[in-house]
Amino acid sequence: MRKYMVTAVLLVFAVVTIGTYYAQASQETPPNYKLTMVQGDASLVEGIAVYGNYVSKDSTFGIERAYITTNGTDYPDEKSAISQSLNRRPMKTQLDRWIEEHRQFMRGKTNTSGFYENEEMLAYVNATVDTKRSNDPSAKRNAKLSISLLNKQKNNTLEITSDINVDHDISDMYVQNVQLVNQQLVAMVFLNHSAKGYVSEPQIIRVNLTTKEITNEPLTLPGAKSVAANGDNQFVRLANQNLDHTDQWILSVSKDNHKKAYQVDVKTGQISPLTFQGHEMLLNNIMNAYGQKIYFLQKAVSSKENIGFAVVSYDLVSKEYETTLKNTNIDLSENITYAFKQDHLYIMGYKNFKGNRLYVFNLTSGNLEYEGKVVSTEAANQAEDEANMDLDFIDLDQF
Amino acid sequence: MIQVNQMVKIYGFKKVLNGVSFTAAKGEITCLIGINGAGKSTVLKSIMGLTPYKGEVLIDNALLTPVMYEEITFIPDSLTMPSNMRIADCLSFMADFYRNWNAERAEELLKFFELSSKDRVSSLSKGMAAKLNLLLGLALDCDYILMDEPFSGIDMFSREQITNVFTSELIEDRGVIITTHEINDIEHLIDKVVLLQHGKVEREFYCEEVREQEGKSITDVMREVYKK
Amino acid sequence: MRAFVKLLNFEMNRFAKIYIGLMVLTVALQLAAVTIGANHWLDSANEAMRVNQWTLEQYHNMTGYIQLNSMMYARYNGLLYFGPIFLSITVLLIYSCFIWYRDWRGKNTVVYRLLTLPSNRANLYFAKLVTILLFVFGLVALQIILVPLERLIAQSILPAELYRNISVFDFLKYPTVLKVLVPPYFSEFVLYYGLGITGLIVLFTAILMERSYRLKGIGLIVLYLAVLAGLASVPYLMGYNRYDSYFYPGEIIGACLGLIVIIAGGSLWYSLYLLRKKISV
Repeated sequence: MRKYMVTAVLLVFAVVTIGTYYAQASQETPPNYKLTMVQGDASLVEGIAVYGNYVSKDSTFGIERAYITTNGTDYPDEKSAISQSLNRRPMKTQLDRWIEEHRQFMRGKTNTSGFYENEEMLAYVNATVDTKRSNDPSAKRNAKLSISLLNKQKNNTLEITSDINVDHDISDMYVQNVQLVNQQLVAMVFLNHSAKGYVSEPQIIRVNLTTKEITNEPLTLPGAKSVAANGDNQFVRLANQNLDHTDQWILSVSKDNHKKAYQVDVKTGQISPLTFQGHEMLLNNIMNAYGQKIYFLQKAVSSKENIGFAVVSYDLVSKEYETTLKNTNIDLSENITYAFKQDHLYIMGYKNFKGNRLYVFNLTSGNLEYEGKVVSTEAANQAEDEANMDLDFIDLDQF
Repeated sequence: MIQVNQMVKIYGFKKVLNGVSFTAAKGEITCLIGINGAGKSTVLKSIMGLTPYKGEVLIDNALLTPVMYEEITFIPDSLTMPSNMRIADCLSFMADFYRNWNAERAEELLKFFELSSKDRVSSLSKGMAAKLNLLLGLALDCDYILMDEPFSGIDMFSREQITNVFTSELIEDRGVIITTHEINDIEHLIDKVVLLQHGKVEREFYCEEVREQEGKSITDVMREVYKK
Repeated sequence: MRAFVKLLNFEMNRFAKIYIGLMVLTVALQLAAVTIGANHWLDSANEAMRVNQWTLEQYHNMTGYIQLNSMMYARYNGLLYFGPIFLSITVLLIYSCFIWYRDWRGKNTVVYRLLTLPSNRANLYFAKLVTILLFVFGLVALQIILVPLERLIAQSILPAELYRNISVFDFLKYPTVLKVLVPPYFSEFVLYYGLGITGLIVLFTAILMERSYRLKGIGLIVLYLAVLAGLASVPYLMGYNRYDSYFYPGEIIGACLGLIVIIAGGSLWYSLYLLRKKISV
């Protein structure tokens, strides 16, 4: 037996050491947190997640990304590369649900904003710019529009593709929102000019589902640009929420740090500038459109301590302003994070500098409908664990 | 019996063996004779499955399988043990792997060849290495032994010691195939000769028959064949 | 099985001396690196405190704690610490080829003996494969147990006010070569070393092709590598790096794992076939 010593010793040494190491390493997981309700309606946080960083004081490298839901915590870095790429998000998203239902149709379709869904159909609009660039700057570039349509009842698919010409300096095109008007898919698309400066140019693309005809119409926004020269800078944001059916698009354009807003009629493409007369200051606030209302989030109601926030609403029909929410309890001076979902505002911040809390307000009634707290499930180190968690994002599955 | 049927071996563009067929029986010493490069060693390697070939080799009417390496052993012209081993290690290696290793006989042969079990393989002279090689093959209780040039580059005394082996009971019941180009030393020991030329068997004969019927020695036949 | 164990032991012993040498060198150089590094930090801390008239606490407030990974960044310590690791990798890579060629090319033709042992030649193949793997895992294990030792050394040299212990796990997670050799999670360990083993199998196949067909074998190796490159490009063709790939991540990962199994399994099967039927001494 002595002659097998070297082999036996090395084998036992390797297996025991590596085995023990990984057995111990698997114990060394950061704490498990749960989003726990303090008061209100628990259904408001079903299928959502809050993201944050776990910062352990004992370790130099202990900053770990954490995804927290009502069920527990996912640490993406704690997973192998494979399971990371299989489950990018901690909850089941709308895309996941569609993939489950329409696996074939959903292949290659990843832009949530490109979908339109009603009871009869699921539609997807996508635009890609040809990467080939010609040397002639006056030449047009080729882009491809592809529209996929799934008839839910008959379970059949219709594909429409079309080549369109775009300006030479367009680097990419993003579909921002898709609506359906009289058997016409109407998509809001941003074309990004980025050869010189950076100008995001909105366009409307209409697809006639009966004739399969496709038209693209540039939007001439008064005071905005549709070409980019050196040093130009124009960012456009669609204030409407993904997947909500609407007949008015609200665009917020920020050009050379100057802000403007426009209302675009989905049906006609008609543009009307929104000037918010007498309330021009609102243009500097965070803007979100839902239904016939535009909501503005204003931070720091009390300027003295930089505490609290308010939400002002503007009704597109009645053209009236209303302060729907005013909160002076919650300190948003640092680590503010918020998200709108329909007429609800999800907002996170410190309360009395202790513990990360999530609040959900109803913007129509102005009521606090949910208050929750991220709680460590380990009773022993609860206070310390909670102090080590720094939340910074609310994932309402909208993008 | 070892039967070699239509053995063909091609190296690059050269057909070294072109349909070699012969037999070697148990209890006989068969000598493969040929000038350098005639393919003698290639035949032995092919029999042992140490190089691919076309054709067929049957050992007691069966194709070679790993189990048969206990029935047939190969003594090449170079050492088969790592040079950092001691002779004792070599013997225990053999005992480890071969169920038919005869340790007693190995000890006897060690004495007979005047080898020391403490010597390292790397320190052996050419003659001693050849003896160790022979020892490792002969101490196996197997039916067939293939020897490749056991006398090449060996001094007179070692050669005598090795030739003595052929007349001993160590060989008696076994089938031996030996290759050599120096026939003189062992002419009187061998039973059968297979003459290779141009990749083929030129003649296959029993020495006694040729001596009695044609009154020729092996060297005479060789001269006839190779001078043609 | 018994023949495999015997052959494994035989192969292990043939390289044991150099291997133990590598281990001793690794231990010596890494411990030296930590000793030198800790002393260097202590000196520079003392110097800073002397020049600025700081107390230990003030120094620590200004610079933070010294940790084990700090040791590697003192002067040439990186070379001292990581040098033996890279040396070991190089030696084992070279030996992965040499483990076959030494049987043919050595002073003695050991391959005659090994190929005519009364056991399946697959045992020989697996003995060589497992030998290399055991050498690799032995060094990985050595590295794991070296870290607590290194921590002890650093702890004994540096005053507690300056030094903070980190866990072995956190130390190995730090993005250096160690993170690849000892990946933080077992699933990654399996993945990385699975790929490594596949690589080794591919290397062995190439060697056995050359040993079977010699010059012609080199042409075959080129062909074989071209086939492997073709197979390896399947995930790219499936668009694994594209956000809007037609295939779902699960399908691409499945294809990758399938490819690894095909490449490893196919190469293994072909190697054993070569060893049985085509090998030439």
